[in-house]
Amino acid sequence: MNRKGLLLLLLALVLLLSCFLHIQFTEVSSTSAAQANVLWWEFRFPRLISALVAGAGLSLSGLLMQNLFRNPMAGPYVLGINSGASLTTALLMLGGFPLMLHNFGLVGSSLLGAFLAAAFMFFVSWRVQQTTGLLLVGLMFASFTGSIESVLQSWASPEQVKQFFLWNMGSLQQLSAAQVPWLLTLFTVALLWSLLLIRSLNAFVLGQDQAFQLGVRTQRVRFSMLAITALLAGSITAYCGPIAFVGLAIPNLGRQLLRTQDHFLLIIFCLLFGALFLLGCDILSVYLEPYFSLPINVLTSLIGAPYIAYLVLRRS
Amino acid sequence: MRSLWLLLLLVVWACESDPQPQRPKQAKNLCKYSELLTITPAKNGFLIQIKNPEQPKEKFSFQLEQPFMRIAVLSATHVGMLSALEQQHRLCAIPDKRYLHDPLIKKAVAQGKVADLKSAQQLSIKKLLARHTQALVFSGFGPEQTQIKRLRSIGLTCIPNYEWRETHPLARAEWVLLFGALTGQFEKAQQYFKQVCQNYKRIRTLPNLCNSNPIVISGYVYGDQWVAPAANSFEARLYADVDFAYYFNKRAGTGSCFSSIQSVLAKSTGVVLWLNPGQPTRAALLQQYPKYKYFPFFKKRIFCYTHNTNFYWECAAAHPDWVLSDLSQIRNGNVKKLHFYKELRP
Amino acid sequence: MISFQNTVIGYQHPLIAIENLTLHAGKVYALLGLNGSGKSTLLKTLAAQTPLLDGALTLNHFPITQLAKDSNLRAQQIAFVSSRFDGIEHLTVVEYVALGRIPYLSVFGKVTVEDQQMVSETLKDLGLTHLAQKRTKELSDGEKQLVSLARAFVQDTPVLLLDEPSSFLDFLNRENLLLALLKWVSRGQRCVLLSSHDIDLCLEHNLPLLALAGGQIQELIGQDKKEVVSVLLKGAVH
Repeated sequence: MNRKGLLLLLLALVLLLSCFLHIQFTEVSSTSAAQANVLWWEFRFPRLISALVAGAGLSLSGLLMQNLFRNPMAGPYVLGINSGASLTTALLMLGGFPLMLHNFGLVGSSLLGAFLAAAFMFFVSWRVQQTTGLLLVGLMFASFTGSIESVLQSWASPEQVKQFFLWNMGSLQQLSAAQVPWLLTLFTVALLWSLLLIRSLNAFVLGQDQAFQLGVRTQRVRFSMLAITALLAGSITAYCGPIAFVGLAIPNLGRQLLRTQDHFLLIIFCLLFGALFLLGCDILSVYLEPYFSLPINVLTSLIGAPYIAYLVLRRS
Repeated sequence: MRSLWLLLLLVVWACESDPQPQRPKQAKNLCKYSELLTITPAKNGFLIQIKNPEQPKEKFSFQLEQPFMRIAVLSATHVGMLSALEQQHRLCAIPDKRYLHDPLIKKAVAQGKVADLKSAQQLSIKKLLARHTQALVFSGFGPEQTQIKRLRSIGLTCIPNYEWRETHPLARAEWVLLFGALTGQFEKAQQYFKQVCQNYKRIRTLPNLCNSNPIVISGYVYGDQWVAPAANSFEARLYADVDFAYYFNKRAGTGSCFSSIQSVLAKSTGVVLWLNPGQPTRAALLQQYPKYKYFPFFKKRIFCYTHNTNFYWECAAAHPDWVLSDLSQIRNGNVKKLHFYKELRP
Repeated sequence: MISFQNTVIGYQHPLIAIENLTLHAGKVYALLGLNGSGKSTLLKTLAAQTPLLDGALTLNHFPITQLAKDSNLRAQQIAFVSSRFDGIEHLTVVEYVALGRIPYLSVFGKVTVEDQQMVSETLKDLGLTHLAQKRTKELSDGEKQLVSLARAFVQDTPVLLLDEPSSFLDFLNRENLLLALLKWVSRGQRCVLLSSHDIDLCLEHNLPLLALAGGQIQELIGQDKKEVVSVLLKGAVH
């Protein structure tokens, strides 16, 4: 217990340090105080928040999904929840409603897509009891939305395709100062909601039947978990684009390092390490900027994918 | 005041000392500016040699004896070069009708006289053959090499066009000579090019009515970066030739340069003019990237060709004098007749 | 402790009808029956997982319908041990056993010092203290089942249901399990119902038997194996 607490404390300290480091690294010497102000509030601060919230939020939603489906390979990406958000965004971007972008249109549609996908998965999970079947449906759904996006792309103008392509690469730098409160609010709601679920999450570790025997209202908790995931994945995908592997890798790392299934500790770990991971990736990208520029999705995949492959190999 | 005169003198001197490319003596190369294209007279026509800028050792060369009647092209720029020589009737296939400007060719495509290949990346060999294509001009980045090899194996002459890799606008325009040779209009092309060069030089020496060299930025936000022509590109050359102090003139490179958006913003207070942001209106710019509103130069003058993009892509390469004339008028602030550019109204 | 009155049990269509039956505190009942006789459905109904089709069923004076609605109350009244626990990755024995305290915890799931004390005492009672820090994935089948039992004990309910708890155990572990259960019911107002195929074990310990056959339940006390088997087979003839 002590060791775990110490690890989390250390993680919190490193995260704090990284925040300062990020602030240092993104600093650009500017000519006037007013400009420095704009740079901070409109560029560096939203970028910092993006990294923190996207990292923490995606890890948290990954943890919830892995718990719900009792499969360490689950995550908002695998279950098609990101795909839902991606699809509605594609409809918006490529389907000729570009005026709604950057306003509530993007967030709204992304949230809607995530919710619809989550609802769909909820319905499927009600019919298909096996987790593997569910994951398969999720993957099918993801490839289905992918092909619809391709069809849309063939109709859209090159300008729209370019815009969608860029959004698809993921970015921590598109968030504006005005959007920060929205992202933070959605994140906070999701976080508080999931804190109320900790007891149920711990029970869900034993499977839904056992959780039921332990007094968990399983239907309600299942719904809550999917709704929280939709809230997190939807809002983050809307503002930062689809970011791969964070949701999948961080909770696994948490269980591995902490050697626990106590979701109180795991949630704290996911929040801290998820934020730290994306922040680290972003610092790295700033550091590498003079040499070459890597979209955030490339960085997270470069680090996340080998880790997941290692996990799979170790398990089999 | 004296130092200003000195500066002016220096600038004029810099302009005069153009790269008069030194050529090996043995061949009578008819191209003066191009670094990649050489055309030498041969006994029954021309020897055309084209250097691949990616692999300088690799040289495409062929002996041209007979002009081609049916030519397929894979870039709008090539269409423009043919138009400049009034040889549109030799076209048998164009890359994509959505990007066409020339009304004559548009009409021909509509009537089915010219094939629309739709995609330069995935060539329809069937379409090319159905049109009895004799020669294909392609951009270096266009179709896959395997496709080109296959086309060459069935007897089609496939000519790479690296005009977009040239570092001087006149070198770019000089590729019109290639099209002159291909269509049997070499002398006309030479005449044309000579005229362009004269115009270009005349505009370059027009008086600069600005007190100093205005700081000019170019390019736009792409993803998380600012993309702009690098210091040794033909665009940067155009800017230099109208005495613009180009924002990225320390960023070496002949293609594009990438910078962090924040660094561009941080050092942009002196910028008075923004060229080629890639959108036709300020509203469209904000819609593409809302944070443009924080850039000081967003509130300054902005010029772009995007109100008629196809026209620019088709004709700017063959008409560097027009581009320079536009820039010169923009610099002096007395805009009379712009060919390509249009100001984005505040 | 558990009483049935004109109860009709089944999954979607009636399977078992029980006119009148009362299970008393302080006893370990063994539910016997052939495959498909409805043992699992009966246990699930008692656990309020499958709704009652008709009649009345009360556990510790609470009607099952009330328990079905109030999930926390239910979990404080009924504990359930399934036939097999596979172990959970990264989950240690103490953590696993502590999960039995969930019905008593706040939403944040914080385990108190008292809860922890209860866990370690229960482990000690069952002679499992040495396993406390071990991971559940690394336990033997017998250990897993005993640890599951510990989790159910910690849940501290008047009613404990076990679904074929001995099917994956060797004779020694079966003995241990049964002894632990007998010891547990002897303290306080408790009642255990376990389903089993192991007639010998049940007879050996003089457990009151509930024979489930042909949609009927018959309480058997003091019969020998032959008689028990013939009662169970009655259903098969139907």
